[in-house]
Amino acid sequence: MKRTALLVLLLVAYGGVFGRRLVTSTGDALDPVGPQAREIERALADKQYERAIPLAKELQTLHPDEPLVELWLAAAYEGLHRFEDEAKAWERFIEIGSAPEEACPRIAYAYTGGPDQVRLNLEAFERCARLDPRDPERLQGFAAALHEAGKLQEALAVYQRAAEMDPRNPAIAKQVERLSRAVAGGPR
Amino acid sequence: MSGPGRWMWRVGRLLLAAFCWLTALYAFVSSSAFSYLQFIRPRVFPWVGLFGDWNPLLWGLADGTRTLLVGVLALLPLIGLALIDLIQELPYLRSQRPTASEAEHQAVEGRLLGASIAASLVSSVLYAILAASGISNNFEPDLLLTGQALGFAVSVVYHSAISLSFFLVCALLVRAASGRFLLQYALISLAIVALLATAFARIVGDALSLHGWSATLAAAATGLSIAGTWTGLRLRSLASPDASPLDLYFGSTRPSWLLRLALAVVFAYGAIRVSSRVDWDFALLDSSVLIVWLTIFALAYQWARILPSARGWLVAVLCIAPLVATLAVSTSESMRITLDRYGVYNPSFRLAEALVGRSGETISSFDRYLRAHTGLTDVSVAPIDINLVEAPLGPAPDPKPSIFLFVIDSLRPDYLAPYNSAVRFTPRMADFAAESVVFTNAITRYGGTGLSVPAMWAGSAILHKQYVTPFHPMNTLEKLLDANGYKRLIGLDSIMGQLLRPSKDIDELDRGRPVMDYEFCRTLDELASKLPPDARTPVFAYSLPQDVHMSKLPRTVESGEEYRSFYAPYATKVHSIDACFGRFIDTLKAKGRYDDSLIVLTADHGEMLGEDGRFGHSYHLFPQTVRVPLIIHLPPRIAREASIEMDPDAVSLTTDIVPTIYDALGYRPAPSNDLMGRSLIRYWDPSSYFRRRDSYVIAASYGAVYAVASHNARRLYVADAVRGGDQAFEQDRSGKWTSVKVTPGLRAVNQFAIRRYIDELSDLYDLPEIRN
Repeated sequence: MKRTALLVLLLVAYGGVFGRRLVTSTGDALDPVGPQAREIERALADKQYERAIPLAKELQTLHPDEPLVELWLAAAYEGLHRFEDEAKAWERFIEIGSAPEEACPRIAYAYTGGPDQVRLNLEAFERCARLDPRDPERLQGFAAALHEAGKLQEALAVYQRAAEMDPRNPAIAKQVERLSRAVAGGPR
Repeated sequence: MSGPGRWMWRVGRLLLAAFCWLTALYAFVSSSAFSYLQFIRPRVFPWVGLFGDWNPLLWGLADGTRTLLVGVLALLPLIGLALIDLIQELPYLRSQRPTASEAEHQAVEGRLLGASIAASLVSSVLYAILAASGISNNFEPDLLLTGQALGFAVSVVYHSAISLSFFLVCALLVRAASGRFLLQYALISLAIVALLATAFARIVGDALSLHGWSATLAAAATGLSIAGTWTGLRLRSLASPDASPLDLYFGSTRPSWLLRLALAVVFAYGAIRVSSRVDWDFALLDSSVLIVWLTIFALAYQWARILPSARGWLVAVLCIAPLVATLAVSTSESMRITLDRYGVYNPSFRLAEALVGRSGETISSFDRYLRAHTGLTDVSVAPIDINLVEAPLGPAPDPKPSIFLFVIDSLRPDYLAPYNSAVRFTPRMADFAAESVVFTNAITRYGGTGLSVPAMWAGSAILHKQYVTPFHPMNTLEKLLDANGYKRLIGLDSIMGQLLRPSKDIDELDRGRPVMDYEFCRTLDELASKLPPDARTPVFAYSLPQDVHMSKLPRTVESGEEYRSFYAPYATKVHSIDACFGRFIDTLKAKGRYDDSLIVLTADHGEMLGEDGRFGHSYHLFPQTVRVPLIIHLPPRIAREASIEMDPDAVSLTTDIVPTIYDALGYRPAPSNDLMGRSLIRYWDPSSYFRRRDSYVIAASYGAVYAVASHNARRLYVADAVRGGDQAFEQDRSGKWTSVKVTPGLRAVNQFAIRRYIDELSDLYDLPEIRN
């Protein structure tokens, strides 16, 4: 009897350690295709942003560390042109998602839509360039923001860095050419 | 029955079993829409087609549940014969003495335990030796002595965990039916049937994307037929008066253990070799590993009869050890990389790890969602109208160029000189590229021909169904050819036959040839001979040559210097089509057609050529299967237009080809949704910026595997709902792809993109809500 109990115990232990492939429950984690999640995503697809926000917030209280909820909120706020709230959602996404580069460049655009936009725009694009240094498009965005802020010399330097990373990008090459002329005093 | 009669009977029985299993397998493969349309119908392997022609049970079968049931029916004779064996041998079974006392149970457990430990060690050692031989032929900095030692140690742990699980189940079943031999035998048989059915579902069912009740039925019938034949043959040959229920599966029979071990080694080695040429997501390789495991266990079980009873503490220690070791195995990034690389060379380790290791993934609700929205064979969907310009489509202004669309099945860009400066074997394509636009960052919309080609013709992503018919309302390229009265020279392969309406304007290329026999050189010769003599008469030509498809590669190649660091059997075929393509361009020039021709050279998808031990494309999405060549030669008069501006390094998709052709003919394609392709030849700064910035969802044609290409297609996230789990890749500035960690944020962003893509497609086709 003791031996049978031992064998049963061992089998249960094996099931516990190795049997998780058989378990399909998501446990406490947010089910991205559960009924509530689907309702939110359908609302976003139908551009019913006002309806999506309270549903997403409800799930946010249950799953405060779930980056998907912040994505939904960011998308809904963007649809409603509530850019400050969108930026906050992206900030939360960066905080909990361990993939800050995925918030770019949308977070920068979100800041662009708020007050004091030139400064915030610049800061946001600079941050994106820092968060995702391997992507030349981030440098391109930062350079465009510098250009917008009237910092031509710095914009040119950043565009040149982007061009080094991606020498066959015609948009970057054109900007380098235009800004070089402008800095040299030629026509912009 | 004795002597030669018994042997004749066994041989006959095995022949019948082989016939039934092959018939069932053929039917199971045919029942899946994708494998029927892409594997059975085009006769990728002619001998498979011959088997279907010759076997009346398989006549007239097409994809669908009915075909799967034919497969199940084909297994019934084996199950029936096993029942007859059982009934005939019932007196023998009844005469057997069951294990009943505690001492007897402990004796059985001692033998089983010893066999389990020995089998796991022998399997680990055997495959470690085979892996070492593979590693020694390659540059593997992570798999030097320490890396291999780590791989071997973890391999022993995982193998032990599997065999000890089997030990625990068997030991408990024998105890549960203590004193009743027939019940013990029935329970052990049930466990073996369950094991085989699960293996079939995981190895074959998943590979064919068979899910649901019909897949369960097929798995159960397969498990029953194998276990029934196995034990039935043994029942008839065992004369031992004191056989245990396990002896009826693993007991001693001829030939000798040494010969069987040698056969297992040869079989394991041979399976690895064969799998590198012909396999589908390791289905053959994994099946072979399972056979080797069972063979080695049987040998170990025979040897273990000399072992004494196992003490309780010994059972506990030996069983707990792999548990503790598994929990202690660190998942540090460097260790993970080493073990991943080791799995490439050691299929037994890879299978064991998939079953019990930490990398084993669960099938999540998201995976179920993807499966439910993939391969919608049973969903009735009406065609939708896809138009790249506002209907009705009028004729383009004259003069119209000739259009040549060459989609070379499985052609990889890095085997072409315009994409890889190390390539020396495609000089003619290099010349052609010099006079054309090379889109350096092209990706397919679908991994696998089945959906890639229709999507290319539609100029749009399409519903994951083979196929929504009639296809014409979605066929934007055919609409363009109709509107402009093009004479068509088309290879009507098994896919094109379903996509095109019959037309008197079609002159079929490669008429009467199976698609797998489409050879680029022969097709181009035929095409050249059929070109109208008047160079001003525009034509449209299309072909899907199979020269570099995995099933058509030569077995041996006289490896020239120029193929060094390439996969020579593939490179040599690329070399040969390069020469033919060059000759065809010469012909166009000689006939005065070249400067008035729009020539597109591309592929439907890429190919794995040994990366991570994988060959072919199957339903995988890896950077190597997703990236395609795309070279477009525009007639100079069109290329000179002032408004034409290109960004050939921005990501381009195979669904952009048709909008580009529209644009070149003078239309202004205006896609009405994000699923449709966009012209590649009319750029302005913002559109180029957005193209580079946007994400694109890619789907496998033959399974629920989806990917998101982002950051100008330098990053690839892959969600594999067939096997479960996801992975991500990133390309560095040198062009090399490396695996990167999937963080929760990365997963959330990309899975959200995939769901939006699927929802958008579902809305477009007015698909009813599909339950997961």
